[in-house]
Amino acid sequence: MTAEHSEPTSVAHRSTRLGAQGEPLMRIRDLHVEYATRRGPLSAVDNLSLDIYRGEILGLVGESGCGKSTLGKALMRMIQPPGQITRGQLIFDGVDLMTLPETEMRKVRGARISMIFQDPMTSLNPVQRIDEHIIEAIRVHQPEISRREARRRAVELIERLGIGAKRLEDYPHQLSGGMRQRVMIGLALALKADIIIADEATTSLDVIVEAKFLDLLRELRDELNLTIILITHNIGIVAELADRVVVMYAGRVAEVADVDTLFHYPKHPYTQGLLKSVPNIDLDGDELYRMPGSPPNLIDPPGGCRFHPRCPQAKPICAQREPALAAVSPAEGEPTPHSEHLVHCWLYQEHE
Amino acid sequence: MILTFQSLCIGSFGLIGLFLLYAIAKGSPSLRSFIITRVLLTVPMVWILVTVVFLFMRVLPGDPIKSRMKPGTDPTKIARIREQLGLDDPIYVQYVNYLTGMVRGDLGVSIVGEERPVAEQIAERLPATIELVIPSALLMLIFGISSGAYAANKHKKPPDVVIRLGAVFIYSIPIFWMGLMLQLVFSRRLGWLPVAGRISPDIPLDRHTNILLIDSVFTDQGVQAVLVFLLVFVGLPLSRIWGGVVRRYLPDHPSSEWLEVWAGRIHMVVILALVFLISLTLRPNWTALENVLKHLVLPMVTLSLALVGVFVRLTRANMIETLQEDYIIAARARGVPERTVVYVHALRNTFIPILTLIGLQVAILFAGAVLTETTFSWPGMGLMLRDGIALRDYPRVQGGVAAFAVLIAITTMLMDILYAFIDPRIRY
Amino acid sequence: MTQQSDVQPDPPAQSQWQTDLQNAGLWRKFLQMSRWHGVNWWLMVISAIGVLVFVIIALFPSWFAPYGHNEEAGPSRMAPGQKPDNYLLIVRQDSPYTDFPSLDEGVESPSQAAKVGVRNEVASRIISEQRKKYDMLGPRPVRVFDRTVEQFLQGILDGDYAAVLLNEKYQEALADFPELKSVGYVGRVYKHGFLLGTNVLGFDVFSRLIYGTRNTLLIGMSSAIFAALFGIPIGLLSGFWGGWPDRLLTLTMDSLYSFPGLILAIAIAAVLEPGIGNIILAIAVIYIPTYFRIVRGQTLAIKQELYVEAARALGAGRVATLALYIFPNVLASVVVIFSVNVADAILTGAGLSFIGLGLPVTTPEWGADLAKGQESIQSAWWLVTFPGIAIALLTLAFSLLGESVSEILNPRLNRQ
Ligand SMILES: Nc1ncnc2c1ncn2[C@@H]1O[C@H](COP(=O)(O)OP(=O)(O)O)[C@@H](O)[C@H]1O
Ligand SMILES: [Mg+2]
Repeated sequence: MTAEHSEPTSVAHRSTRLGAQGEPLMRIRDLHVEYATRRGPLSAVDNLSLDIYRGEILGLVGESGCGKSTLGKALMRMIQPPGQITRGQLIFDGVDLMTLPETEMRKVRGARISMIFQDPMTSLNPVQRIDEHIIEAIRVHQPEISRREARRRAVELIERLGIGAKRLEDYPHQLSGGMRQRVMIGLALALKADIIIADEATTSLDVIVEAKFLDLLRELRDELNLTIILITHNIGIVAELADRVVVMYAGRVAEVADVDTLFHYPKHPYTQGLLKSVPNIDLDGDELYRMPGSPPNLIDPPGGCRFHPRCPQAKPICAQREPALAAVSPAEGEPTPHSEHLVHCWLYQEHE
Repeated sequence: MILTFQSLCIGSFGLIGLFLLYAIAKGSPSLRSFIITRVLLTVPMVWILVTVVFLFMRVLPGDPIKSRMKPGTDPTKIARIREQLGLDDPIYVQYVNYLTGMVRGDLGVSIVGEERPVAEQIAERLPATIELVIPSALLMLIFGISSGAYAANKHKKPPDVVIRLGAVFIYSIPIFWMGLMLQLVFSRRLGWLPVAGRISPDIPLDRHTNILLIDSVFTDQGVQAVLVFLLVFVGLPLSRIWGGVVRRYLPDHPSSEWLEVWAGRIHMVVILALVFLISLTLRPNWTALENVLKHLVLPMVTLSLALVGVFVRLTRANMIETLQEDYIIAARARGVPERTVVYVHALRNTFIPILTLIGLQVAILFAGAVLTETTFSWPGMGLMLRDGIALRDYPRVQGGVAAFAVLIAITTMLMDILYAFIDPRIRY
Repeated sequence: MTQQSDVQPDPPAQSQWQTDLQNAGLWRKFLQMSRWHGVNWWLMVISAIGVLVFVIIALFPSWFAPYGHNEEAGPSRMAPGQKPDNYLLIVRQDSPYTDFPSLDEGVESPSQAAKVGVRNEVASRIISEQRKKYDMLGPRPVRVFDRTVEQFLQGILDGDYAAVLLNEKYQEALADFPELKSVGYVGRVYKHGFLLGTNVLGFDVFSRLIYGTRNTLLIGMSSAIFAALFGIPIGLLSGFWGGWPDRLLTLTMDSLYSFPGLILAIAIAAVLEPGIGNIILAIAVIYIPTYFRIVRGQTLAIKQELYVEAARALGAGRVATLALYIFPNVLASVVVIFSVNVADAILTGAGLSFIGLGLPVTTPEWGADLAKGQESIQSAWWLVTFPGIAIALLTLAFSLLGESVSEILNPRLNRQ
């Protein structure tokens, strides 16, 4: 046991945020996203409901292909053909985004909800200078702002992010990966968006740069009361940064809880498996746990609970009917969670 | 007379030189060294080309004189021509003579008809070819890029399939046949346009540049032409400096902000107004202009159609790739309007790689010009080559091909440099 | 310290169609591919069939052509579908003449020439042909254009003419002249016209096209093949060995590549005797850089790839590495450009013929036929139109094939 080892318990100080949550900033209801494939529709997000609160960092985890990116894009209605949002509501600030015409939706994108993409190397237009990127982002939504004013804002923004104003004149290829990712944040922040969706935003960064980047995200959240949706398959990042965690499996939510509760008292067998399979430095030499099986094909997913073929605790009912995403109360001796603890599993639900 | 073909050439080369100097001065060290290497590389490229032409014409089995002379030609005449051309010298002597001649601009003398220097004939024919190629290239670019971009935007939808098939279809049509068909319909059947030539012989026109469009617009001295030329190519680009000047030297103040935007625009308006005023003093030869334009329509359309298919395909393929790039999706996610995303962000990135290809395509345009000129009896270099072949005038063919080599090498060099200059990613 | 979960980053996904294909039979494979690739698949199939049809025509022209390629099938410059006129020889009931040659005997001397009346030039041509055929001196055509059929027939009765060549179309007029009779057709009797007309020499245009397929196809295909045969090995070696020979070759090939093929081919063809072989040579030379560039680029790329390194490490010799690892990979891209290249070569070949570096009249070839047709474009549009359409169709088949195959093979355009 080394002293440096930091258990994912450093979340205690964050819990205050989760106390009084009030109205959700965004409510997702019954969201369905399908991709048309040659072998029939693939339901990448299936009947998903979720609340997102102002000022929180929401971790979204799950294996590859479970629909995390699809969900992230769906929140901005950025699903490209062959994909389509087939059903559902996205109530943001009291308005259902699904009912907005495309022109109105465009005003939401970037201005109210922004996205940071996985690869900062390819997410900036190579023939556009950095300042042009930021000025464009500002002026697309607020054409009344003059170029000069927009540039001034760009300078402020970029200095706030720790990049010298001189770099504004540069082209993307002249910046390092970390700098580019910060520019991406700058673009997301240019209009003081309420929600920032970061989809695997650190995957392509090295560990040191990644740590700096995550610190920056946290600082910005504290300072601007941002809502950040952190999509990742790296559970360590979630443990370090998130307030609340959503575990997805095969297009559905498996479990939602605040980060303390989720890491210490996971309820869903999938979450438990996922946490067990995280390599831990103090596991001295123990064989790493491997979850049996692989995620299902979403064109023809298993009936009932989609996890049941891989579930060590599966019951007959699991193959027949889908459980509800319901609140669980803490077991004996467990502390009260800081926020609602929802689980999508028959183990915690009554059935006849 | 100020405005001649010679002065036009000098003017254009001057501009190109200015551009190169500007690029070298302004560009990064790597760009600088690229430009210098590329310019220097053009020399060996031309040399290789003319050498290849020489080799093909001398070393391949086949005697350029005998195979081209009508049977029964007086053998003494053949001997005289061989003597005159130095064909009996050893091959390396011929080669050295050929190269030194080229450097001095001496391409030999025709052996058929009036025995005129080939270089002189080329100088006479070149304006006609230029007058045909440049408008065709513009027409081709406009059509090709816009429909290619449109098709890419509608990838896998019916308009895309239609445009793509149309492009392959047009590409497959032999250009000279297309010309003949257009001629058949619009000139011979409908009688709307003249059948052939550059201008009707009964229309008087002073040919100082021999680019008839210019000649019929600038009928006299040509001072105006020089002024307009300078205003457009030097004056207009200068309007871009104002933003920087204002930003650097004027204090932060709402009015200087206004100036930053408007100084450039006012500059442009002033220049355009000047051009307009100058154009009021012109006395264009309207009848000639109309006649020249009418003659130009069919050859121009033919030549541009020949290559538009290639361009549609290039633009489309590039654009489809670009549209899938992350930065395009990111721009959409930033709320940038779809039109701006496609026709500004994507098209700009698509256009850059296409630029180098334009160089190659313009080269092919010259080949197309040979065929088009033959179809429409357009007295340019292509027709000169054709006549050279028909008359078995072997120096004319060799000289014409060599001249094409130089023209093309210069064009591709310019395109490559422009590409490097425009694309910020290029690092050599 | 950040912890990593066992969840892997997205693996390179296998395309749907590859998964689909794994357990399918040949025919089902075909159908499945057609569903996945849609239009492109059908374009490929259609253009492949088109190419096949042209190849069959080129191999067995006599199955398709109604006439020979150098056969004078009918009168000169017949429009498509136009049936040539047939002529009856009309004489007096009591005249001794039984056919055209016998007419000659009845004419006492050449000076008494005008014995046969004519209505138009075709008839006059028949007369001169017949005279040539029977080596006659006698009957001469009379060019009288302002007379009606009846006046001509009356002319026989009046003794102006010994006989009249009467166009079949005016046969009814005979009914009014019981003293006259028809002794039968003169010259060739045409039952129907020519599908695409005839050319200046009276050759059937359609048959010329059928027989020309072979030469046109030969020029296109074999120049592309020769170019590939030279370009591929040079590209392979140059890319594989690198160093200064590579740089020199690349500079040379790039210079040639940037130069329009047609103009270079003009230079080459200008010194060679006209003929199919030399046209092929001229075109083949100018397409070598096309193959060189592609193959060299690919070789360089593949050389970097791991498995070639691995093969080297396992001790495969240089030649073995080239032949077993690099060459097969390069081949795939060569196949695509080959098809487009054939299309290009056909157009260049046609262009060469058009400029006048073409072939002798006796050789049927589309470009050459077109160039000859241009001389009489004013009076006979079909002589230019149809060879052009044939060239366009053949080129279209090849370029469509190349286009659709590359669209199918290009993963970047199919990414979803
Ligand atoms: N463009 C697409 N076409 C078809 N299927 C897609 C497409 N994009 C994603 N999918 C499918 O949707 C599912 C979810 O994908 P994604 O949201 O990218 O997962 P994650 O981000 O969690 O790895 C996967 O099964 C994937 O195969
Ligand atoms: Mg993802």
